[in-house]
Amino acid sequence: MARYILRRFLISIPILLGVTIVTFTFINLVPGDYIDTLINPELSSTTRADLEPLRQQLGLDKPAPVRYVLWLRELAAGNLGFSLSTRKPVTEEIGRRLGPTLKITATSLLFAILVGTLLGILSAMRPYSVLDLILTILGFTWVSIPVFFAAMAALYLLALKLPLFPVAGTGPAGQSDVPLHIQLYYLVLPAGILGLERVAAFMRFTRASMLEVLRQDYISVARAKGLQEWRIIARHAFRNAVLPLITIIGLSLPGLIGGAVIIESIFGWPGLGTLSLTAVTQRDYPIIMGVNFIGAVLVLGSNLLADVAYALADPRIRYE
Amino acid sequence: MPARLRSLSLLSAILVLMLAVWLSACSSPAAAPAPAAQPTAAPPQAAAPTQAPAAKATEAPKATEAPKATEAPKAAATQAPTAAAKAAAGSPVTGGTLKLPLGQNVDLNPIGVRTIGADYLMSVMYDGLVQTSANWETVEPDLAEKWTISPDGTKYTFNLRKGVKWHDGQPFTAADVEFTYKTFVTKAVTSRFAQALFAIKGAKDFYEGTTDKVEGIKVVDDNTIEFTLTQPNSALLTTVLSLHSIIPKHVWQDVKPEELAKPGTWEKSQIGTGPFKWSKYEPDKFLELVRFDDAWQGKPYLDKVLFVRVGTTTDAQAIALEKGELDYATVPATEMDRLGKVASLTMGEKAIYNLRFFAVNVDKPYFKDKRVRQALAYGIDRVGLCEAVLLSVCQPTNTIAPSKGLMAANLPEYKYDPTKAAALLKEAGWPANQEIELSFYYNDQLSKDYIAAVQRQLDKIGMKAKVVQLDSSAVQAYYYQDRKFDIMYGGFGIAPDLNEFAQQFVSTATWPAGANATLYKNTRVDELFAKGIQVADPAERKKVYDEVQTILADELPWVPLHLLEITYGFNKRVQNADAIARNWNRPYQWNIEKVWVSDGK
Repeated sequence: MARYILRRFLISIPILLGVTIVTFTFINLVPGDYIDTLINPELSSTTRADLEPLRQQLGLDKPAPVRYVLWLRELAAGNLGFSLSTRKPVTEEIGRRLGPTLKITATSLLFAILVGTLLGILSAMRPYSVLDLILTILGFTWVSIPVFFAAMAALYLLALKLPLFPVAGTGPAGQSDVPLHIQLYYLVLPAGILGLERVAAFMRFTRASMLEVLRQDYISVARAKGLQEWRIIARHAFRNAVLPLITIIGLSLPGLIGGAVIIESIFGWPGLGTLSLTAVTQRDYPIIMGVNFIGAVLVLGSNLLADVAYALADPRIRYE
Repeated sequence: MPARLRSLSLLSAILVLMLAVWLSACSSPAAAPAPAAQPTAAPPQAAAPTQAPAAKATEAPKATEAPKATEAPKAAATQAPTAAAKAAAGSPVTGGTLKLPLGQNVDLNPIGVRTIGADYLMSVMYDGLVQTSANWETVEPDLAEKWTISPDGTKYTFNLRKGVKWHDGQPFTAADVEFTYKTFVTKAVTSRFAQALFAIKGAKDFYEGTTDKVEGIKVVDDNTIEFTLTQPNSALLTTVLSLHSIIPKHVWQDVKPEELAKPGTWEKSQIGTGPFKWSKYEPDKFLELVRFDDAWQGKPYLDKVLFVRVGTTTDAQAIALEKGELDYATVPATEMDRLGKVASLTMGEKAIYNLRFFAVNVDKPYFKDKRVRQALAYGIDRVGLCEAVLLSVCQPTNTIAPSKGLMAANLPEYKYDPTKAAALLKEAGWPANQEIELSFYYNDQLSKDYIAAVQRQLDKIGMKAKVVQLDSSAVQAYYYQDRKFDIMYGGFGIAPDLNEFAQQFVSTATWPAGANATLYKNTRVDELFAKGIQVADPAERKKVYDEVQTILADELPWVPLHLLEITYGFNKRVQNADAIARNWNRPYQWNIEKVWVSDGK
C-alpha cells in the first residue's frame, strides 16, 4: 500500500508540471495583460505609456517563458508568487478566501451527501412507488436546472417576494464579527442552491447502486434469516452499495474549492470563486496559476484518496 | 412498511401543496411583505439596525412612506426625481446610514494606479484643488478657493481654503499640495497621473531622478501655491487638476514610494479632507465611512456611508435595491418600468456626458476614402436606434462635444438615408465582398441589441459586418496593438473641454506614441489642437474647437452616435439623491454631505 501511494505520488509530479504549463500558456494566449485592465477605454487620461513604469516594476515586460521559469522557481521555494493587483502573496490571497469558500462548498456537499443518500435509499427500498416517482421527477428537475437560474429564481422568490433570506454577503453589511447563527442564516440560500444539484446526483447514484445490491442472493439470505429490514439495508445492502458513491464523493472534492464561481458571484460571496473570476478579468496570472495549481493538487490527491478509501471499504481490493 | 411509505408520500404531497400556496401568495405584488411583520416595524427606533436585515429593510421605508405611494406616479417620478423628493422632504434629518454598492475589486489607492470605478470613493473621502461641476460645464473651487492665471498662461496661483482640517485634526496647508504633486511625479509610485503632470516645469526631471526638487511647484505661504508650466495650458484645470485627490503630508511623508504604490498600504486607514472619513474596511465585503464633523463643506447629515458588496450581476443589484439592502444603484433601462412600480423606489435618468461613437480604422485601405465613413453616418439611424433600442436613454448627436455649450453650429446633420449611404459606398468603389469587423466591449444587453441593429442597417447599405464582442481587458490589445479593428463601438467620458480629444486625433499621438487608434492624420487638426490649448479667452477657444468639430464632422474618423444617460433608482427615504447620481467612473462634484435619509436610520 505504502509503495503504491509513493508511486502514485511520483507520477503526480510531471502531471502537475504539465498542468501549470498548459495553464500558463492559456493565460498568455488571452489578449491583454494586467496593465491593460487598468486602462479605462472610456477615459483618455490614461494610456499604455503612462503605465510603462508599472509594467517594468511588475516584470510584465519580460517574455512569457522567462516569467514561467521565474514562477517555477518561486514554486520550488514553496511560494506561489505575488498577486499583480494587490501585490500581496498569492498564498495570503487564497488563504483569506479559502474559509468562506470551504464554508459554502463543504456545507453544500455535506447536505448533498446526507440528504442525497437518504433519499436514494428511500427510493431504492420501494422502486416505482409514488415516493420514488416524486423523487425521480424532482431529481431530474434539479439536475436540469442550471445553477445560475436556480440562484436567481431563489433570490427572487425567497429573498424578494418572500423576504425570508438575505440577498447577498456573509453577514449583515458593515458588521465585522457575525455570530454563528447569523452566519448560518446567510449560508442557507447559496449553500442550499449549490447542494441541491448534487443532492439529485447523489440520490440517483445511491438508488441505482442500492437496487443493484438489493437484487443479490445474500440479501435474500439475510431476509430469509429473518433479519430486521433496517439491518439489512444498513449493514448488508448499503455497505456494499457505497463503493460507487465513494468515487462520486472523491470526484466532488476538488469542487470544494473551485466549484462555486457562479454561486459566489451571484451572492457576492468573498471566496475563491470570486477571486478567480476577478483574477481572470484582471489578468492577474499569479492568482490564476495559484488557484489552478491548488485545484490540480486537490484533483490528484482526492483521486488517490478515493482509491485508498476503496481498499478500506472493500477488503477484496488490494494494491501491490 | 407500506403504511410508513404511504404516510411519507402523504407528507411530501402536503409539502408540495404548501409550496404551491406560498408561491401563489407571493405572486400578487402588493401582498409581498407579510402583514405579520408590520407591528415589528412600527417602533423602529428601538431595534438595532442590523439585527433582522431581511424583514426590516423593506418594512421600514414602507411604513414611513405609505401615504406618499399614491402621489408619485411613475412618469413623474422618472422625469424630475429631485423636485418630487424636495417637495416631500421637509427639513433635513441628521443621522442614518446610506448604503451604496461597492464595485468589484476596487483599488483604494488615491494616488497611483486605480482600478476602474473607484473614483467615486475618493470623492467622498478626499478633495482636489478644483473639481468639475455637477452640470459638467465649469471648473469649481474645491480646496483651492480661487486661482489666478498669469497673462501668458504659464503660471497658476492657487489660494487655498483657510481652516480646512484633515480627518485627524491636523491643519491642511500648501505643503500638503506640494507633497501630493511631488508624489504623483515620483517614478516608483507608478502613478497614472505622472505623464499629464509633465506640463509642470521640472516635473519630468524630477521623475527621471536628475533633480530632487520640482522647479515648477512653489509654496508661497501656508495658503498659497504656485504652479509654473513649461508652456501655456488652458485645459490644465479641466482635464488634469480636477482628477486628483490631495493627500496629507504628515501621514505619508515617511512612507517609501514603493510602498505607496502597493494597494495594501491604503487598505488599513486613510486620511482625507472630504465629508466622510475612513472607519472600517473588509475587502470584498464592505467599506464603512463615518461622518467628519469638521468637514469644510459643512457637517454632513448622514452618520455613515456604507459601501456594500452585493452580487455582481445587475439583477442582483436591482433586487438588493428593491429590498432596501442598497439605497442607490444604477439599473438597466429595461428594468425601469418594473422598478418604477415598486412603492419604496424612485427612478431617475440623467446625462453623464459620455459619448458613444464608432471609431473607424482609417489606416485600412478600404476606409481611407471619407465617403465610406460618411456612408456609415448616413446608413446608421442614430435617432431611431436611440429611441427604439436604447429606450431613449440617450441624446443623439452629430458631433463629439459633450454639452450644448461646446457644440459647433451648422454641422452636417447626417439624417438617416440608406439610399444615399448606398450610393456613397458605390461611388467610393466599396468592394461588395469585403467583410468588416464590428466590435464592441460592453456586455449589457442594450449594447448587444444596438450592435445587432447596426449590423442589419449596414447590411442594408451593402456593407457586410461581422460582430466581435471583446471583454474590456482585451480592448487595448485588439484596438491598439493588433491593429485588427475595422469599426469599434466605443464610449468616451469627456471632460468639459475639447482639448481632451487631442490624444485621439492629432497625428503626433498616433499609436504607439499616443491614444490615436484610428491613425487619423490631418495637419489642420494638429494645428488647431496645438493652438486651442494656448488660447485663454473662452470665445477664441470656442472658435478653434468649432473648426475642429467641422473638420471631424466632415472626415469622420469617429462617427458620433449619441450622448449616453444613466438610469438609476434610489430608495424614497433618500433625500437629495441627485447629489450622488453621477457617472461613478469619473470624479466630479459629489455633494454627499447634502444627502440625508428621512427615517434617520
